[in-house]
Amino acid sequence: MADLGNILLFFLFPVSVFTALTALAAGVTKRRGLLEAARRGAYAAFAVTTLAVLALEYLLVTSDFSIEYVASNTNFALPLFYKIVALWAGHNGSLLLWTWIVTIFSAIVAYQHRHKNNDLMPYVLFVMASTMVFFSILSVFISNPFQTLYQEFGNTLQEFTARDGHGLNPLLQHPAMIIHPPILFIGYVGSVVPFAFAIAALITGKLGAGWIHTTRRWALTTWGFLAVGIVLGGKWAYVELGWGGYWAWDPVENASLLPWLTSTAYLHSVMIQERKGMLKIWNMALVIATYLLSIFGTFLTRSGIVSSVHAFANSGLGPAFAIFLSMGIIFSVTLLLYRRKDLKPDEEMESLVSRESGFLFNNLLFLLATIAVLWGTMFPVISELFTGDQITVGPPWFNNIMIPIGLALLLLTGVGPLLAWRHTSVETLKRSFGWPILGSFILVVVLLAFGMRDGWALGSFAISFFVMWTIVVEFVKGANIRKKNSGENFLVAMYMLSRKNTRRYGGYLIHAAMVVMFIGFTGNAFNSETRAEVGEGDSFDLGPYTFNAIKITEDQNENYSSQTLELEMYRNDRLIDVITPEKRFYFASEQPSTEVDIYSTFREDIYAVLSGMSNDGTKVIVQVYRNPFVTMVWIGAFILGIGTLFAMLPNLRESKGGAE
Amino acid sequence: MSYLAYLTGLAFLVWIVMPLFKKDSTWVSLHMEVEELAERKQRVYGNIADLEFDFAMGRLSEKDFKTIRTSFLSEAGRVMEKLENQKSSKLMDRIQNDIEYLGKKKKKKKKGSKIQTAVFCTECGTENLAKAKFCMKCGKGLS
Repeated sequence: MADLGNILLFFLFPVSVFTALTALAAGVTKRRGLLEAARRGAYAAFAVTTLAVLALEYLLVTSDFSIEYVASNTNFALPLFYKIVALWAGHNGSLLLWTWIVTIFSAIVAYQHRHKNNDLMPYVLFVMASTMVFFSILSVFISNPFQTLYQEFGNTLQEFTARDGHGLNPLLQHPAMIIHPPILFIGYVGSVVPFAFAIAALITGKLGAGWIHTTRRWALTTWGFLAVGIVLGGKWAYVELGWGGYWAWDPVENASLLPWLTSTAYLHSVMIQERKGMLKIWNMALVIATYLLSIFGTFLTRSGIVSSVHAFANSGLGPAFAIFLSMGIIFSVTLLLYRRKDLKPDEEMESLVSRESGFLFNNLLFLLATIAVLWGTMFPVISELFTGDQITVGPPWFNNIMIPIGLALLLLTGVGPLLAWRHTSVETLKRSFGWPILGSFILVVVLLAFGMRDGWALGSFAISFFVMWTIVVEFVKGANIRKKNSGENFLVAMYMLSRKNTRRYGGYLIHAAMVVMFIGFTGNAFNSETRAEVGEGDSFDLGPYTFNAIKITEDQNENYSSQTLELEMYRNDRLIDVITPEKRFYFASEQPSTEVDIYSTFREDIYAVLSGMSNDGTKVIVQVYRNPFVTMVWIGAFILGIGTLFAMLPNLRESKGGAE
Repeated sequence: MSYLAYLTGLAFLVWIVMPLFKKDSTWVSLHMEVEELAERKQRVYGNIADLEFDFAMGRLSEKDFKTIRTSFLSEAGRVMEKLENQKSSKLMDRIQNDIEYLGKKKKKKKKGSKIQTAVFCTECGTENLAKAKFCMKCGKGLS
């Protein structure tokens, strides 16, 4: 089976080269036969990679420890379900997953456009196939998941079958493992589709809004996947890493945030191009940047150039990625410069107080955020270049810069939609903003009266309130106008209104989701924690809570041994819950892992970690965090997912008298 | 078993390269100017819809609404006029070309009973189903 997998994977290389070349030839000659061959090449690449993935799954499930990847990421005792998802647990396997997703997307795009966009498709397929060529080179020649296991006997290397595998990294033995990596990868890889169309538009000179309309759903889908993937990663870190938080500005986290920032900017600025024919170069640049940052993110996690808690060790892929990335940059920038004259704006800006200027500010802020995150992430490398020492900038540095930018962006989500295109007069502004501003002002006074003194938190709550107000007013006002015109009842009117412009109201829903998430982020300003050494019967306090350690138990199964603390949680002398943080030691990988226990409500999370034994071995050390509003982050992400799906629904058209 | 696998692989390979050896036709690119105009028309329509929505939501004064609306309407008029004048020969070439191609395809697929011929929009060149009454891209009536 390993041989078969190897052969299949090996075939991917010539198939993708064939696809790229025939696609290019089709673009030059405009021959239908060539384009059809390129299309079939894309289908073939998908078929071959799918079979290779199935072959690797077979090896993983049957525990074939003569294969290095299987032996290093699974063991006999590992539950079947984790054996299956071990496909993306290690470096080589996740690279195969990546390659697979590229081939899936290429096949889908080839099929979707089999009867249309003949001018663009050759170059679209060329770009996608070139990405496949690169990843197939990596998978076949540099990090092949079908590599057999070798062991040194004397001075010679011999093939070797391990008696048992090393097992799966304990941190990865968590249900989020099933969905987080594929979702994030879909988000990363998906950026190749808008990129391919943008490049095709640049090459063919068909620079109108055609390529933008064609890729709108792709851009939105991958944006949504990226967003949900990032939050899922945060959730996973929160419950698995045991340090009490969900975001630490770690390079790998930043790597996923970067393309999200640029693609969010794109989703906004593209509206200016659609309405005014402006920012054409900028939109191209954003799509290109999103793709390159996705590749850069993969490079960052696999090259070992910056150290991170969950980066893969130096895997020898660094140079390959650096070459591919530089080629991508040179190629795209050259094209962009070559076409710069054709990308001139059709219209000019008319007024500073208008929707389009709102979008411009939004883009400026996203650009700043991207540069800041990129700079902070790469600072260790940059500082090493100049001073010889790796200097890492920590979370406080990121927070200092990103909190103001984040709040400014949040404010814009409230202000922007209330501005009219082209020109908004001051009177209408007063009308739109008067009440919400007054409302936020009253909120601040109330919060101050309750003793809240954190400036950023006050600002954040005030802005959140303001934005939520404006969003609700948008829905209510729109529905009322429709109700008056159509005679429908209010709820029907609201439904019809949103279904008639899913993009606008899906967008508002996503804005609301961001507000909810920001309330969650703001909770960080009020986190508190305590650390205690406890034996059975001891107790300690955190805020209004009292904790009683009732029992410490030890247990063992074939996969790991564990220690569990039972902790009674009281508030005002009333028993609320019994929480049971746990510490595990996995035999196969010889690694410890903490299983935190979280008591979660809308208002706050009580988060308990068993960090270990005290020095004399008689007591256990437990760390308890009190984190307000964390649940809001997960709820916000859920609303964001719904909003994204809603925005992708086709607009409803009315059958009679349809004034669309 | 392995022979079967090789045979399948070979058949697959033949299927991929087959189109390369077919005597085939080329496609002609749509005339850029027509496409650009169609796009501008879409944009003006979108702008008018947005303007009316913004006005209904009370985001701009009546005076602004009227001035901007007038400028949009005259722009829409200009674009439509240009579009009407664009009976470009290149566009006709493309349509001719595509009809020929479809004709050939039809002959080859004599067995297939459910062949749907396409109708090309004279305005923007988009391929529409034969039964379509209006162009799916620009909305122009198809005869």
